[in-house]
Amino acid sequence: MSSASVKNVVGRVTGLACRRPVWAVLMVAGLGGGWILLTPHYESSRRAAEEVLESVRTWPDDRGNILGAASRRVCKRVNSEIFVSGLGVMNNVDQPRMALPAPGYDAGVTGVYFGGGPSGIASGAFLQALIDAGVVRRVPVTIVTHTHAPSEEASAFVPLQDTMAGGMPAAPQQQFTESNDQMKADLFIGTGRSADWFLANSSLRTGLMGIAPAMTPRPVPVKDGTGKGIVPPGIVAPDGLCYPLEADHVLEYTDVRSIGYKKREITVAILMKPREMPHWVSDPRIFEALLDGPVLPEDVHVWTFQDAGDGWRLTGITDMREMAGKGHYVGD
Amino acid sequence: MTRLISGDLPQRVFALVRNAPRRSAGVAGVLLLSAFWWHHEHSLPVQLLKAENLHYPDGARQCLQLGSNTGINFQLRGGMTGWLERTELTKPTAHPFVFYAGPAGNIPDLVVDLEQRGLLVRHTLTMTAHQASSEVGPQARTESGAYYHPVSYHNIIRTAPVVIFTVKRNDPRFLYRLQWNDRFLVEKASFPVRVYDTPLPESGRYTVPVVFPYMVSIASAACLPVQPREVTNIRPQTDPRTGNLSYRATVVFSVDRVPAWMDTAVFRRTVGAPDFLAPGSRLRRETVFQVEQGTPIFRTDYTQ
Repeated sequence: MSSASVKNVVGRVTGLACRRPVWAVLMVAGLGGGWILLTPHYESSRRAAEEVLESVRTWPDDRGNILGAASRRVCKRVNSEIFVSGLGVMNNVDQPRMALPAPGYDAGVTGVYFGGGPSGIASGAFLQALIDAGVVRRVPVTIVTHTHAPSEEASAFVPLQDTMAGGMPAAPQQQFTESNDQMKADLFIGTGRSADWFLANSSLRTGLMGIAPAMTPRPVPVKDGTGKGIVPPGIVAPDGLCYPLEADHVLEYTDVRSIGYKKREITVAILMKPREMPHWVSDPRIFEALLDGPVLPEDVHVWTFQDAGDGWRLTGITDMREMAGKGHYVGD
Repeated sequence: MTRLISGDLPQRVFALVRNAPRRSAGVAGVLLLSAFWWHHEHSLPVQLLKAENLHYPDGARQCLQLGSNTGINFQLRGGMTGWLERTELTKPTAHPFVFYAGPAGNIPDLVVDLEQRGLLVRHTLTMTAHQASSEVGPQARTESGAYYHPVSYHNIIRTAPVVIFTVKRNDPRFLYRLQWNDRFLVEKASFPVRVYDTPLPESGRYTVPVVFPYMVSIASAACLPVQPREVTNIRPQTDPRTGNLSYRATVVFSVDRVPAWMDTAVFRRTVGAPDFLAPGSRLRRETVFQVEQGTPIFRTDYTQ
């Protein structure tokens, strides 16, 4: 259509509207009515679902747990049998153990501690899978055990008074003996990007009704300059693994429903994906040890959100009723 | 205005009627009709019928539970993990609307009938079932008879054809029961698909991780369209605490037409043949309407 004819049509319409006000009113009413009739109701719900997606994308992904809280981080417990515990009790008062600083395990090391044992100890299947994937390394160290024990004479000394001979028996000269044993040991240390998935989070072990919390291995202290043992501050004994999710897109949504004065509600299914999927998560030796199911490449979450005028907020309970036969499916 | 309501109004009207009798009769007729219409529209039964219609914007329905004709049951025995291939129906981002799913043999008659009538779409898939068995075999004994390898696992993998019958998404001819992967009560009865497609180890004890469509709607009832016709037996009642007025009434629906797929021997045999499942039958529902700002609105239906 040329610009001249467009001008012509616009001129005629405005002329008609100016000459007869009734026509102007009819035009406005027709346009408004057409707008209302032709815009489907679910379009506004679609817009609300997109707003919900935006608010999910602002959730933190480095703290909290996606179950029950506004967080994009998934946490899974690990079976405590994955740890190797072949080093005995670490914090025994009479037998403190510490490792001599070695390349790969010193006071400045950063990593995840999966336990250790005498040199050559077998790793479990889980750790072997992580070793195969290059996430965990076997670090050889020398562990010094300092034993502080009563001497033989002290053990034999019976401090009973012999009243006939008179006087106390002489106390032994040496009350205690000190000894240092050295042992070659292997520690299983995870380092690098993938090791960031494993972290200490004791909340993963709480709330398990009636189940005693599993043991996490105590990291071996490293002998520092003064001869005391300190646990490297960068070493973590994991309670589970956590990873961030990205909100991909809306899969399905319900109509926005009014639940009160200026308060509305919508239920939305959102496809979430892990930010990265290391190949080791699909190893059977790994997913067998995860207590809360495998790491899902496609994780769909369904939530109910409420808006009281200040943005969409997560509610505690997901209302699925409107999804039955009334949901709007978007799909992939 | 003052002249109109002055004392001689009856005489003026009388004069008007005498001068133009036919036109006056017409005006009187129109006035009477509209008065009658106004009264009718504001009468209580009509108001209640309006409220009833407003409550069902897509039309009222009467639904019949389909019972064991629908559902998902692949009949996997204990200790078995089964999975299907990844399709548009079974992927984790799917929300299929399912009528029936199960082994390819032994499909219910109603399902076969509804498929022939075009209400259902048939999909044939392959179910792979995995079972890890622990066994103490003869190879696990030394020559003297002592165990040296007490338990070994072997994995049995079988395949079998299964069928899934789906209905149109949000088909208003059915009511749906939702089945979704609740984190606390994982439904094992949906469509499993393997999470990872890495090859499975030949030996050893493992469980194949599977994932399900995030939601499955299962048709649980078949619905018959009914039309609200009249409201009878209206009983006003006042809430003793709040003083709110409400009406308890019987809404009568008529069944004008029974859809062909419901009017079959198979349907009557497997789902049931209640009295209302006949053209021209009447259906009564005890209903409570609440009066809000002078307008009655639908509140409860005691049969649903």
